[in-house]
Order: sequence, then C-alpha cells, then structure tokens
Amino acid sequence: MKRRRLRASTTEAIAGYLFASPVILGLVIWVILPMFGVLAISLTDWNVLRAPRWVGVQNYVKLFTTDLYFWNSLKVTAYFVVLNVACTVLYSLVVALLLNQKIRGRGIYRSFFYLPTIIPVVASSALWSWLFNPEFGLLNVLLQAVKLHRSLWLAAQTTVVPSIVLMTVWAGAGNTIVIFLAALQGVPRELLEAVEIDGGTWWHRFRAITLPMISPVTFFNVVTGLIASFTIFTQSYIMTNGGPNNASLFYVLLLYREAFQRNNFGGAAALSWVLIIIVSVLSLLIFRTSSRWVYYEGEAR
Amino acid sequence: MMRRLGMAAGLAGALLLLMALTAGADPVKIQYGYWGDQNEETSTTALLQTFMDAHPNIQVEGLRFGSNTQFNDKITTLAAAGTLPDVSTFYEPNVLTWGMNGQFVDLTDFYKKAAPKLDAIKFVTPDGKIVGISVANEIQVIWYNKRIFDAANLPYPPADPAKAWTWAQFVSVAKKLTRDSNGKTPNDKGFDPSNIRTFGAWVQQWWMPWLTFAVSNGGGMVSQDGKRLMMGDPATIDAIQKMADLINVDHVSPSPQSQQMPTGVATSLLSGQVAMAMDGTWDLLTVGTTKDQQGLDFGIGVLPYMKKLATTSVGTPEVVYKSTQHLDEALALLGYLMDPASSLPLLQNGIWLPNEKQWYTDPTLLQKWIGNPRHPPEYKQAVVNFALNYSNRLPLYYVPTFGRMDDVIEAALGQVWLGQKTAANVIKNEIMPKITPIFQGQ
Repeated sequence: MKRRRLRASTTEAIAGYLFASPVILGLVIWVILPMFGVLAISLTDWNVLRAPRWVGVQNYVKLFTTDLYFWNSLKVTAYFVVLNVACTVLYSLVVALLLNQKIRGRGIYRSFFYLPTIIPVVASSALWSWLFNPEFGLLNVLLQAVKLHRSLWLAAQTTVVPSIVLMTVWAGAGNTIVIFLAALQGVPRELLEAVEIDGGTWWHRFRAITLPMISPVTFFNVVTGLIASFTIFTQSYIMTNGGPNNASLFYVLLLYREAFQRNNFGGAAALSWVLIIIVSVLSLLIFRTSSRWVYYEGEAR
Repeated sequence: MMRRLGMAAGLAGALLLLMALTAGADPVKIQYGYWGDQNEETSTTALLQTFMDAHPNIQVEGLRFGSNTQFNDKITTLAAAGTLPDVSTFYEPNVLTWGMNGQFVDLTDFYKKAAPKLDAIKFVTPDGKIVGISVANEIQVIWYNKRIFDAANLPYPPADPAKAWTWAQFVSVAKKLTRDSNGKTPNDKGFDPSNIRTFGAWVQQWWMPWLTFAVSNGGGMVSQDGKRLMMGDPATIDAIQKMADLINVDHVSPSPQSQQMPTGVATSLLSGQVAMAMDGTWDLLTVGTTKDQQGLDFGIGVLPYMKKLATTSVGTPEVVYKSTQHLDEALALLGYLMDPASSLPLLQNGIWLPNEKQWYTDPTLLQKWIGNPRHPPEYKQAVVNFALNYSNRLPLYYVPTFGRMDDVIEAALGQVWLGQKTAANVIKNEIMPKITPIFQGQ
C-alpha cells in the first residue's frame, strides 16, 4: 500500500496559511464582512427603530445633490488632510534630522519628542482646548508677550483648521519621527563621505544622498498620514463639535452625527463608502506616481 | 424506618412549598436608564432604592449612560441590539422622532389620571400622542449682582411680571452698567468696546435665549400648533437682530468669540465681569452656593419683553419603552419619578422647578420647596409666578424636525452674533432655503 505523501511545498503552504489564519480570519470577520454589511446598509433607509427599507442608490444621490453638509465637510477635511500631512512630514523630517546629530543627551531629546504620542487623543484635546482659550490660554499669553496679536484659535472659522493641525502635529508626529530616524540611520555612510571628499556641503549631502535614500520611508509616511488624516474625528468632536459655522465639521464627525445623533444609518453608511472610495483612489494615485520620486536601493534610476 | 421516610417526605414537601411561595414573590426586574455624572449616579441610586423599599415586588436596575449626547449613542446601540431598558431619561431633540417611530408607550391616559402637569413640558407628536414629559421645569430669568446696581444707583430688574421692563428699558439700564477699563459706559465719548471690564447684560447664543425672545416678539421657530414655519417672519428676524445688537451695537453683552467670554453665571456675577445675566433657573444651585460661600449678593428678575412678556421651559424627559415586558411596573416607576415629592432635594437646592401645577399654586406644597434660605424672597414672583403664567413651549416639544433644523440654524447664526452679517440676510438666504424642505419633509 502506497501512502500518498504531500509535496514539501504543499505542506509548507498549509503551515503558512495556518500560521497566518488568525490575521486572515480577523481581517475577514472584523473588517471585510462588516464593510460589505455597511455597503448593504447604505442601500437602505434605516434608522435602527424600524426595519430597513431598500432604497437603492438614493442615499448616494442625496449626498451628492441635496445634502446640506457633504460638500462643505469634504472641503474642510481635504484642507485638513493637505495641511496636516505636509506639516507632519516636514516637521518630522526636520526633527529627525536634528535628533540624528551626535549631541549630548540625544536619548532624552528623542523620548521628549516621542512623548506626546503616548498621550490619549482625548486627553491631549482637552489639554489643547485650554491652551487655545482666547482669553487665558497659554498660546495667547505667549503671543502677547512677543507683542503679537492674539488669535481666536478654535473660535474663528479661518483659524480653526490650522489650530487643529498644530495640535495634531504635536501629538501625532512621534511615530513619523521614529520612522524617519530609523531611515536616516540606514543611509550608507560611505556615500555621505564620498560627497564630503568631493567637497560637497551639508545641503549637497542631504539633497543628493539622504533625501533619495529615505524616499521609500517618506512615501510610507505620506500614505499612512493621508489615511489617518482623512479619519480625523476625536479632536473636533471634543474641542469644537464641528464649529464655528461648520468650519471643522470633518467628514467622520458628520458621519457620526448622521448615525448616532440623527439616526440616519443609511446615509451614514453611504458616507463611509464614499470615504473608502476617496481614500483608495488617492492612495492608488500616490502609488502610481511613486516610481517618479521614490528610489529603492539597487534600482536603476 | 417508615416514619423517618415520612418525615423526610414531609420536610421535602414543606421545602417545595416554601420554594413555590418565594418563587411567587420573586420581584419583577426592570431597568431604568439615565444620563449624568457620578453625583447623579449616587442620588439616582438612592432615589431608586426608596422606590424599591415602597414596592418590594419590583426590582429596578439603574443604568448610567454618561452625558446627554453619549446617552444617545448608547441608547441607539441598545435599540439596534433589541435590549432597551424599560424606562429612561432621553436626549431631548430625539424624543419626538423616536416616539413617532413607535418606540415609546403613549402616555396620554397615564397623564390624564395623574395630577395635572405643566403643559409646556409635554412632548406631543403631530398626531397628538404624549410620548414623554419632563421630570422638571426650568425657565429663563435674569440673574443680577445687587452691589453693581447699588454702585450705579440704578433700580433692580423687576421681579413682578406685571412690572417687567421693555426691551428698550433693559438695554438702557444695561448700557449704564457697562464699563470699559477706563470706567466709561457705551454712552460716553471715547468708550473702548475692546476692553470691557463689566458687561451690563450677558445674553448667551444657544437656542433657548433667542427662541424665548423670538416668542416675546411675536415670532418663533415654528407656530405653537406646529403647522407653520415662523423662522423667516419679520418678528423672529427682528428679535434675533436685537439680541445681536446687544453685542455689536450696544456693547453690553460679550461676543461668543470674544476674548472676555464669561465662564459661568455665578463666577462672572461675583467677579463683577457681568452685572446681569440671562440664563436658566438651574443656576440657583451654583449662584446660591456662591452666595453661601463667597457672599455674592444676587437677585432674580423676570425677563424684559419685546411685544409680550414670555419665557420658555425645558427639563429632562422621561419615557417608557414599548418593548417593556412589565408595563405596569414601568408605569409605577414613572409615576414615582415624575412625582415632585420624589425629587424634593433637587427642588430645594434650586436646580429644578416642579413639573406639576399644584406645586406652584398650593401654598403648602409651594412652601415645601421654596420655603428655605436658598430661595430668595423675590423667587415667588420672578420664578414661580413667571413660570406658571408666562412660559411657552419650545419647538423641541412639538416639532419632530427640531434637531435637524437647529443644526442648520445654530451654525449659520454664528455669523449674526459676530456682527459679520445681518439676521435678515442670514435667515433669508442661508437658513430658510435649507430648513424649509426639512420642515416640510416631516
């Protein structure tokens, strides 16, 4: 009797899938199935209190035509995303470059800049709403000390989004800084030295070696920053509740309000699918253009 | 041997009988949901315990769901899961929409049998069902610091509704009380509106104050029969413009985005930042405590009027869910919670007014809640008489689309309070085109 034996590669594959199964199952059960559940809800008129009623794409049509907040919310969110990603990446890169210098107490500085990241967003939002207070907030006291005009920060339509960006950069840049720092340490020293021997300045080294060498990491930070920024919620939920005059009514805050305060779950589900599509398309675009500005070592330019 | 067996059988029988008896007396379990902080949890737990002591056959489990808006998230989730409590407080703007979706027991008969409740605080759906009622009544009045009036040698705001100020009188007094950092009033030359030390009258910008004066001016958000949208009426526009003028023209009230925004009625009266503040009767708790601890010499007056004297009422709604398995017990709990005698501590400390008419008219009952040092002598006129005879229903009690319309209105009115645009402009061009379809779609 001849027992059929599995080929080595097959057993390996089975073991591989088994090991990966917790992640795969988790992804399917907690992410992919609910996503399609939400898709189904988005095609109904459902307020939780009554059985859902099938309405086809009506929720989507409403969003793009008659909804009072959709376009404004998209505009406000886009403004936040662009400003936040740009500021976070720039700030993190500068801080990472500084922290990469050989200075005394480097470890202390590194933990200092990482520290805000471990504070819960709720706590830092509460803290910053005090700092932003137009009357007795620390930021205005500082502005006055250097003879500058006070700002209304969160209380004015024009300054509310930049204020939230300021806070988000402070609170959220820690991880980005660490990733940049790791990348900077991976920049081959011999290349930097080669520039130096050729008489290149600090700027030449940065422009010709460092920047291209860390471009994959910059790319990663931009993409993850983009996705995270689109889903901003807590800061405006706690500090401004979307105001003033809906100037910080971010997309996810609108989604929350439709679902949990106005019981419009169909509309909220449609909102979330539109968001998924927007983020996917943008990520795809960035991936497509990445070959032009991201350099991978060993790759011909 | 047989005897022993018999005894054992007898014992077993007795035991069974006992079990059957206790099973029959097994209390009915119901759940009561509410919002509030830790202090309210303590007081609510005590309240429920008193009820259970009086009704040994009912066991009530209290469920605290965080703040008023968190409460709505939670209750929505419970509705989706089909595990709603039996009785609960509710998020005001959604009482009618949930009631119209058949979630609440129609309480019309229940309230016909009970002692008459105030009309202003019943939640009535367009088809006439009472789906909820406020456990307490809270109206808008004027709070003032007597010392600031004495120093300026001006008469106090009247407590007697019959002697209420007109709007013009109110503005005139407020101007005389307002002082910039050089001690000048808005009537003086060289007055500096960007450095005001004392504001004559602080009027806030959320819906309750402007709805009150809109009604006083013969306008409002929606007519009292719920049929006509009145937001665009000249009377409503005029009332809102006059309130915005308090900030930007008369300079007697702080701007919502000003750098001198007061933080609370009691503290701003005490510090002299504000001479008069229009706000709810609930302030008596903090204002009274500030009097006891820091000697704030305060008084209460009725509101000024534009065309007719008016105030408005709010209060936390209580509802009974249709999904309850124990309707009689749930209604017994509701009856207990809604009885002003049950909330006597909250009536006595000043935060609430009772929801029943007889507690305003019967001298014995009245004495029970205002007969203490917390309630000043003018309270009987400025609050009790004012609340009983001059209070109006707010649209959240009879307009199911109130929440949706208010989202639009509050956001847009911000520009009026800041003086960037006129009330007429914002209401006609930005508010009415958006809320008209919402109102008609109800």
